[in-house]
Amino acid sequence: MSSPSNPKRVVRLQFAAMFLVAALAGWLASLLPAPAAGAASVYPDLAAAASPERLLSLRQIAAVSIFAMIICATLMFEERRLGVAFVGIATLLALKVLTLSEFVHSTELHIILLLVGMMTLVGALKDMGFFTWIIQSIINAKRMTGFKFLAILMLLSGVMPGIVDEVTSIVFVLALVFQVCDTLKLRPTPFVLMSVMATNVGSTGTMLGNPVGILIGTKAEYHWNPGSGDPGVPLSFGDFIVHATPIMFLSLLAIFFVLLVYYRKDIRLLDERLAERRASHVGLGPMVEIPYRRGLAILLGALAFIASHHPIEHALGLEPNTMLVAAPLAIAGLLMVFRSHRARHYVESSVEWWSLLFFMMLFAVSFAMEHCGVTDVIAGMIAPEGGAAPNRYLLTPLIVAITAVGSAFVDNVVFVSTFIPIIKKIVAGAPEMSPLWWALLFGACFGGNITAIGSTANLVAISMLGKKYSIKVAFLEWLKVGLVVGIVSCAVATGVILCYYKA
Amino acid sequence: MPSKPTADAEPAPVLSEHEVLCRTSAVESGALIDEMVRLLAARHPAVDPSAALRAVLDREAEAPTFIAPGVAMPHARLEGIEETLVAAATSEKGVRFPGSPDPIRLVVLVLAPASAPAAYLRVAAGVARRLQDPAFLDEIVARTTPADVCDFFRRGSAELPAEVCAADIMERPAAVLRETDSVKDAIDLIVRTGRTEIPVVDKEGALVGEASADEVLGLCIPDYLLWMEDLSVFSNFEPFATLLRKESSTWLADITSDDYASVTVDQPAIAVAEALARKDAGVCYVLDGDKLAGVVTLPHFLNKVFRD
Repeated sequence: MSSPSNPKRVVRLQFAAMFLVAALAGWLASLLPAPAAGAASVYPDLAAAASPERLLSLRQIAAVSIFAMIICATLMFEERRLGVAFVGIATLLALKVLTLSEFVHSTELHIILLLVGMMTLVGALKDMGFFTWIIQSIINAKRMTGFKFLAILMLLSGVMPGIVDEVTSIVFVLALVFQVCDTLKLRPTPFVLMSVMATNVGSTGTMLGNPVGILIGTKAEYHWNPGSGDPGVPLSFGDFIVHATPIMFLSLLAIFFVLLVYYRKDIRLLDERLAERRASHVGLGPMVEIPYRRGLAILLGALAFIASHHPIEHALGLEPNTMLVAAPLAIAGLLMVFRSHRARHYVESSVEWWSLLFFMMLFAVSFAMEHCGVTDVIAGMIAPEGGAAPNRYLLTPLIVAITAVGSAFVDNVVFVSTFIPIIKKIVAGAPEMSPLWWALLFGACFGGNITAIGSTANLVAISMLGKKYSIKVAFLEWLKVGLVVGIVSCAVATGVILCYYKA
Repeated sequence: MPSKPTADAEPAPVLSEHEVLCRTSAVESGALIDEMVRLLAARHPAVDPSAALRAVLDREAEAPTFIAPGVAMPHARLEGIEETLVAAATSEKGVRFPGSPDPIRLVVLVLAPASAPAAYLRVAAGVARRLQDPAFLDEIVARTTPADVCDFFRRGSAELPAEVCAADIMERPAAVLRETDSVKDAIDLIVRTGRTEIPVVDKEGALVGEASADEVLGLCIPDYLLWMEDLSVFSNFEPFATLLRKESSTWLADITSDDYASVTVDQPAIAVAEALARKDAGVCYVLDGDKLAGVVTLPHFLNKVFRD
């Protein structure tokens, strides 16, 4: 007889739970009223097949069930989530909820290619010693103290994801943390948690910091002059710098002080050990000259190119965000041409194909949800049409809270891709609600700090801790500090959005 | 330290009085071993005396089998026998064994089935435990009849241990570092002994960690340097220069890891294999409480299981 801890039995139970949740979600979806108009026109081929109401209801059930399945898969088994997503998409195709062309269109290939370009650039920068140089510079800094090191660590963790993505950033920041903790014989967990929490906050600083940022930036319909009747436009890299970066820095500062207090004992020990090192004139690592200039020049050039995408598009008469995708591709392409001996390595090893494929499937399922009208129904619940004008003092914290709590347990891309059509619908009816896009961004990213499974960066950090030190971070250990950090950062972001973006 | 017998353990080999030579007159090891092999072959037809003698002498030529001053345990694994056979010989004047500085006064010959790795180890462990009594050797040599010798062997230890424990297969550490030593001391010891892992103990002898050549290398070339495609830019060994300048003042703690394989002295020997495999380690430390009692290197362990 198998014991409850039998891994095969656990997997069977997880699958049973997943199908149960999917069936429950489908049943709930069947209770939703079908949208009156719009959705039927998306499926002209099916419109005449039967009662439109029944058809839409079936689609809703299928889309919601499969979406629920994928959420369960991300929660319960990381290694199987892509497999579940593949099966889900195949089911949606077989049930005619998606056509092939809709599926291809809905995978947001431009976003995926943007990420491929950035990941390739990061691979080349790593090769060229750019990240090594940064770590080396910090390790060999003169008169390092505990406070100074933490300030640098938090700043680095906050800024780097905005330049390279959050996963690359956490991998390289943790290399610094491990070097310092190994040398000073310190417990690494507090410093890992500080870094990863700063990384999650920092990933909101630019459009490139998090797939969520790219998703919101490219899909948003932002009304900069709500009263003018101008159509909503996507957000640019510059918009993120002007609007998201300051909020990110304020939130980073707030959580810095929270973490300083929370981990004061570990920080005191770090300070003591650093003082001992200084006294004996022994550093934290080897002192070598890293040839960094080429890598730095490439990165600065790439950032300048990406940051200027908006004026270039304007000058060339291109669609918004065309150059946002084209620039990283061009840079990655040039690097692969000039470093042809490493080109295959960059594409095969530096690009996170696992995550990218999952994102593609996820985007397609979200598209199915949108076009089956499910997201319209949810949007209607949040901001009823024909009701009172949406209240931003209510909706902003509500969106931040829902996405934060959701992202604490499920990949934030899942939540954001589901919420985008909802925010779109609300903003379409009330353009002055455009700042909800920022609420969505900060809620989804800051919520990732609440639990150990809240973001990809968290999972990477936990995995690195486990591999290197065989340390497991207990769910509650993370939750205790993560909840405080999550609440504080969300409160800061909500406060700034409400104060700065007055209707 | 002795382990408890277990019900399903392999039956312990029994020393019969018919297989004991008291106060042998042999003076050379070859002649004595030949005589002992023939003694066993006379009572066990499965033993081919010439093949057994060749196997024992070949094993002797590979490495001496002295387990204590004055005590030798020549042995071999043979195809065709199904139980472990033991013969013993005592000598008043001592027998010359190549490589032994002392004349050998007690010889225990073990012929074990080829597929029984624990057989010889159990006998060796049993004899070694009896040898903990300093008077044992003198007393057993003083016995004048085979029956007396058998009786003396059995006294105080009714049977051989049911299983071999870590203490039975450990050896003395080739080198030990004190926690107050520097990285320079560790590098010196690594270079001098050729051992890549060296235990670090505190002033009470408690094991506090393991200093290793890997950690020295990691100190000079941390993981983040390996991110670079090509380290040939450091053609003058720059990453090593920092340590070279500061090795005397760099604390041993910088290269000391607490992630090592260890077992306690009374754990079964298989626990050593488990610890080595789980930690992917080259050496397992054997602890008596928290004190370092001995070490089992992987080659030593393999030798014990496959060759001894």
